[in-house]
Amino acid sequence: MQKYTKYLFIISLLLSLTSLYVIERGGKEIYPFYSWKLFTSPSGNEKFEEQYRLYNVENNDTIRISYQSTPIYDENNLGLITNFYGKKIEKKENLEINIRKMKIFMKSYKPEYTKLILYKEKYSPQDLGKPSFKIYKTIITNL
Amino acid sequence: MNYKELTVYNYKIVYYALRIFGLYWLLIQYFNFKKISSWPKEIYEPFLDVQRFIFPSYPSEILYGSMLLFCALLLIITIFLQNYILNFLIFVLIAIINFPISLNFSVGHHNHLIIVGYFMSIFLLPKNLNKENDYKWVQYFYLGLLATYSLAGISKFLGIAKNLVKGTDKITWLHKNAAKVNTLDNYWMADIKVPNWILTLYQYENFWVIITVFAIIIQASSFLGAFNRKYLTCVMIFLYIFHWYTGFFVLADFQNAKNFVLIALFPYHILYPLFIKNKLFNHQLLNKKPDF
Repeated sequence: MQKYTKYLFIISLLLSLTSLYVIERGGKEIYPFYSWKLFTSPSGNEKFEEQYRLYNVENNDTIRISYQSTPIYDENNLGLITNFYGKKIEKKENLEINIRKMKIFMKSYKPEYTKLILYKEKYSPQDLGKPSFKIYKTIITNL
Repeated sequence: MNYKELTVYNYKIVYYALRIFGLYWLLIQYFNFKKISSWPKEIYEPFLDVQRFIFPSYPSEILYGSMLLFCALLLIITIFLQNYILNFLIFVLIAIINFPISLNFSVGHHNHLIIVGYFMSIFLLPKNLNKENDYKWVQYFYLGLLATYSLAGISKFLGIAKNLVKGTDKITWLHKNAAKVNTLDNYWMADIKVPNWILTLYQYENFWVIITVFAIIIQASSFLGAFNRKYLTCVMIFLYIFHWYTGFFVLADFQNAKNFVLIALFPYHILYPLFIKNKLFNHQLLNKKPDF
């Protein structure tokens, strides 16, 4: 039976290439055979990149909510979840449900933040760490 | 041992090492599961339809725990009873167990290599690997694992070529500060301050261009390790360092994949003579009369 390992390899490779084809057309990978198209260009390769961030209103100041790891979330989790719901809210996809979920999520991260505003931030990755670095904010909605 | 013999010899050890590693991996998944279980129930976003079908909501501890225990049981049974069907079941279970951990909100690929590893080893039972040509099937096992890295490496070359041909103003891996921008952007997205020692290392701009190109070449050619034992060891060391680098510099946590690379590709045959010598050494010690 060990000779079938050859066919497993062929299947694995074919499904990986199929995943590549499907993902390029906006689909999802044929789990667990990923295309392995990872970091074909460095992260931050575009002139501008965008991300969604939550701000909180405190005494007439709008404070950008930072990501700090907690026992249940690490920084990557916080960024991933904020961006996931942020994008859906901007696209008005199941708007009410996703706003509710974003609030539930924030309540589990920072319950003291109750006056939330969702912003989309645009920045130039090449300017990161330089004095010229700037964030261009666009307000999406109050939550 | 010649190349053919030692290739089979190494796999026979890998077979058992994979069972032990599997138990460790299951334990880690339990801790990950516990952590994500503390998230509010409402924020569960399965990435794949098949995943939503198996876990319509985030699994309960009883359900997930039973799957972990069942998988652990199969891993232990297959130490004593080598069986193709059980191997297949282990592969399926590990793929399912990974769903709630890595495919919530988006898809994380840090466990894919491990799943592919169990897939590639379905038909390789140590008890049946006794013919001269069996080393070929072990080569396919290595090939299945290393192809994932080669695809990642080749796609980087294609990415560079595409941007050069099209003349875009995107940063490619050939750019002087490519690795640095990559690091800074990932830290920025996670909202973490870049450690000073990392910034200091990135001051050697030209060095990083050479290192980057070298790393992409090794990554793309890692599949060749399936056919040459010495190169396979080099690839193993490279991949380990590479995962260590991405962990610190890109915040990509491939901790388990990193350990899996060591376990699956390790040149166990170098320990073989040591083992024999020690045995003889022990033997001599035992026969030696006390000096006093």
